[in-house]
Amino acid sequence: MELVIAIFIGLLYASGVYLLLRRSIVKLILGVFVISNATNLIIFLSGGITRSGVSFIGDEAEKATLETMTDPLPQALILTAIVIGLGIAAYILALKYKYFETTGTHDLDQLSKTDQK
Amino acid sequence: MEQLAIVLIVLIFLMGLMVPVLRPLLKNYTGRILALVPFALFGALTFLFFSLPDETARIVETGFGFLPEMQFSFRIDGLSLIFGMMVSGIGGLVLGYSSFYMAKYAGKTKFYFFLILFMGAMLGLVFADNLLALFIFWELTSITSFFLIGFDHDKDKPRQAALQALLITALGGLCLLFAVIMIGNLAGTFRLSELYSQGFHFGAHSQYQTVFLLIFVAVATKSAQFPFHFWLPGAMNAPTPISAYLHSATMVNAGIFLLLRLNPVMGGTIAWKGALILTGGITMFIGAFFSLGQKDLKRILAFTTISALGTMVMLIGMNTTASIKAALIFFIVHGLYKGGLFMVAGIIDKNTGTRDITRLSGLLKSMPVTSIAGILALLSMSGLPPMLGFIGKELIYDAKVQMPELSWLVVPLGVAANMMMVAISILVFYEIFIPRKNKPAIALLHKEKELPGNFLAGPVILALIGLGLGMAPGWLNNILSNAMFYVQSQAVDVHLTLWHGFNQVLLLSIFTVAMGTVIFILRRPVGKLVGIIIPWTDQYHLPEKFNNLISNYLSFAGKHTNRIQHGYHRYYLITFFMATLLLIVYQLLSAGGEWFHPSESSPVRMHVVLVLIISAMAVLFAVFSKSRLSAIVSMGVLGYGVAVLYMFYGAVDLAITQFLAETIIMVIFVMVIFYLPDFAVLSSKKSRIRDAIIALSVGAMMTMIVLKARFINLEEPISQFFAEKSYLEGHGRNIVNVILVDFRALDTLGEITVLALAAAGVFTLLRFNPIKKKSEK
Amino acid sequence: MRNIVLERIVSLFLYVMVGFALFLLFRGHNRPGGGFIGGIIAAAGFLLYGIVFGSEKVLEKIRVNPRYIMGSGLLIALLAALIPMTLGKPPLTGVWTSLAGIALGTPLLFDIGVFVLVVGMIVSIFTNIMDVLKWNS
Repeated sequence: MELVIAIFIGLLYASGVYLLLRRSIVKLILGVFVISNATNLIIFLSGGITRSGVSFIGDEAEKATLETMTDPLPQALILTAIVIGLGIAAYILALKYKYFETTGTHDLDQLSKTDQK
Repeated sequence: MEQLAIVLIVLIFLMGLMVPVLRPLLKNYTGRILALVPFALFGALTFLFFSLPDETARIVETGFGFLPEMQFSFRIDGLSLIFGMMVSGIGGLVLGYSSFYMAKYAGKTKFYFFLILFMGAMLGLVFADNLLALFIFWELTSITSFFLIGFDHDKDKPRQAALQALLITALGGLCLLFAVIMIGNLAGTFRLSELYSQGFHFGAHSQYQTVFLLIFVAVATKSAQFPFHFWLPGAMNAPTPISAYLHSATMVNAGIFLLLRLNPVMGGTIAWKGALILTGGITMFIGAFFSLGQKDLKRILAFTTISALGTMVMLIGMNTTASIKAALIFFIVHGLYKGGLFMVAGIIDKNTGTRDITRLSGLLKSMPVTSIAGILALLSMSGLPPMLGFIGKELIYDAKVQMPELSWLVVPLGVAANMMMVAISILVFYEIFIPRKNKPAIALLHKEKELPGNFLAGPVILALIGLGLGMAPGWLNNILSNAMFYVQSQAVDVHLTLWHGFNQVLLLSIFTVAMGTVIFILRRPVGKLVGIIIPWTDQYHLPEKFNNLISNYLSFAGKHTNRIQHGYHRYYLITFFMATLLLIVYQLLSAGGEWFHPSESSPVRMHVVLVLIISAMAVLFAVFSKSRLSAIVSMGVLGYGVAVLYMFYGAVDLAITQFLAETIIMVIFVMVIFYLPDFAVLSSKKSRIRDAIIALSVGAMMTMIVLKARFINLEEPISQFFAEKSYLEGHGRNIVNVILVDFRALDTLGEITVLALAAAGVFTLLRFNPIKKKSEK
Repeated sequence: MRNIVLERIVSLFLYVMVGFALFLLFRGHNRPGGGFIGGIIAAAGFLLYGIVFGSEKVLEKIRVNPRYIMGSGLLIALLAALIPMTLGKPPLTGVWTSLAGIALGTPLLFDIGVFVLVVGMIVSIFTNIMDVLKWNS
């Protein structure tokens, strides 16, 4: 399964990088989203997916062992990453709107010309 | 008492930092009130001055420092006392003086802020016991003097002069840093007190030449020695109080101080003697020579300062008991008369509106107090009795005559330089103070009586001290012996007297004055000669050459920066990806080992694979889609697919968050994208193929990394700790949540701050429109 | 065109979602949930409400400027970080008391801060976007 997910991640990265290299700023933003999802997956995979079972401590037990559950640390990291991704996405979108409003173009190559007057 | 002195130095720093707060409170009294602290320090130092026994140094540890090797410890010995008293005493007078001088300037807060910080830095420099601390203070004086010289930052000339001074002194600072580190490594300590007590001297060491060269550059740049002397006249663009302070007893003397400090550690070698005597001699001569051709009073003073600095460097280079003594005395002499003369020049400038000596005249009648202070200082400068300057000059001649091998060179050079000093003194005296028939007396803006006392006090006090010390030089014996002990590392008894008896040195003095008078009488032909030589040297006009060098460097750098920083976003990315690819793939392939182990991996589940395939197709669709909306929807499919994957492997919290966040992003995306144009194919086919190759390589690299990472475990996972403590100490059964709000709450705190900033950023981007605002006005 | 049925359902749904979000927030320490999830769900409720009624109605509904909500969330979290310091412990150490058998502590306060901030952030972002880009008509 790891192999499949690893290939999937590679595919996501390939698509993301391809999108990043476009001149259109909308595609660039899509690329950022794809890559952030892929990166989250890498972190998730690094905790190991062989163990399954939710990462909670049972009602009677006092402690849990890693044998019976998914590693909780990557989950905590990804959880904040997702919410931050949400904030950053909103920010990029606002930035893009402003960029388009100011320059009237969505071609990134125009950007290099506008800042040297 | 020594603790008090150190506390006062620290207080000066604090006071400097507090100036922005204090100045609105103190208003026009700022200068006068703030002057009290340096005066208090001067008082404390005077007390130490009289109570410090011979051959003792007091070390004060502050226990504060950046590193174990870099503690701010202070040493109080004869040398640091002499310099410290000049810095604090003249500093106090300058502050009082500025109160009136700067009254009409804008930016007084800035002026006091940097002047006081400069004073603090200079005091730290002379009292530092640690070479690294000394370096830090040294750099601080460079930086603060940059702001002081460039005080009139809205004018072109001061800015250029300030930049020049900064670049040159910073070059020296860099050299000093290297030298200090090398000395520290050779000696095993950065403490001056330990260096002195060990009797460490590395003159024979193989690295001595390098260290000496570095120290020499540091000194030559700071103390304006030839060929770095040219920044000093430029620095005259600063307001006069700054020139009076920087160029009498402080900034430019830091190099002299450094030489004296390091003399026991590395002085007296052949390189030391040769380099310092030669440079000092040249500097001394050209400084005096160029001063003859100047018309601006401040520029005259600047060139005589260069000459005086050269004299001191030369004396230290000679490295005999007599010469060190002469250098120390001459430092005091020079600080007293040059500080006074600069302040006199400032008073005259303020009160007549010019500093041109050809336009000034007859001031003795109209401004008697200022003139007498000025004349006393001029007497000291030309080395006439009964001023301290006379003793200084006698000692210098004495040292030169006694110099065994080199007296044939240094005596004529010294006498020539002094003759010109005498001539320039008489010239200044004659032109500006004496009432003359054929030159109308210049009109004053105020009567002298109307000028405030603290404005005139500076030069008067300095002139009187010069006179007093000339009459009773015995006051200095004690402290000089102490200073000599630490400079020469041997006990020396010092007995200063005004009258040395009739001897060879006195004859030389008489000859000097006589020849100086002759030069003065022949000033027209001499002026012509200088007038011929100056244009000739102007071909090698160093300030301009230096500026050209800097601007060429900048344009060179600019050209190459434009090539690298071309502004095309995707070429940056391509560069980045290619470099990463090469480095990481090389590393991965050379690491060897396993990539994939079927038995260790979890079983393949067909329904998960199905989800992944759907997500992958969605992404590919997004990549090639021409419609914005369908691209966004397929991004949503990818997000949900990933969420399903989380869910499947037991990360419930993650799955919920991913579903919700993805939904909200989609909604916001649609809201914004609606206002943007359709996709257009902007790149050529060729570049698309190139990009596809790069993208696929990066993807392959990431797959390799992910696979390889499973076989590399650098640290034991800490998750077991969380699993055990979560309920017992965190009182929670949801381990993920306990990690977020308890174990790693600091991370979360940082992250929610980022969220708040992102929202604030969105608000500003959307609401704030600077262009619109401008056009509305 | 107004759709009465949709408006009724959505305004009811807002309360359901906010209630559910609070439920998730408070049980988040033991079961799936927590400040982030709860915050996003509550904000999603407001987003839905905003899509149907317009962003001005959302601001009317919550009465407070969402930026202040965001700021107070940050302050609550900071407070939770500082409380242990008054007891001489390092900042962010969990301090617990028990009230009627339920453990209450600064981590819960911290989670509430996260919840409030996330709600404020998302509401602030989408109301601004809707307002400036004229999605309210």
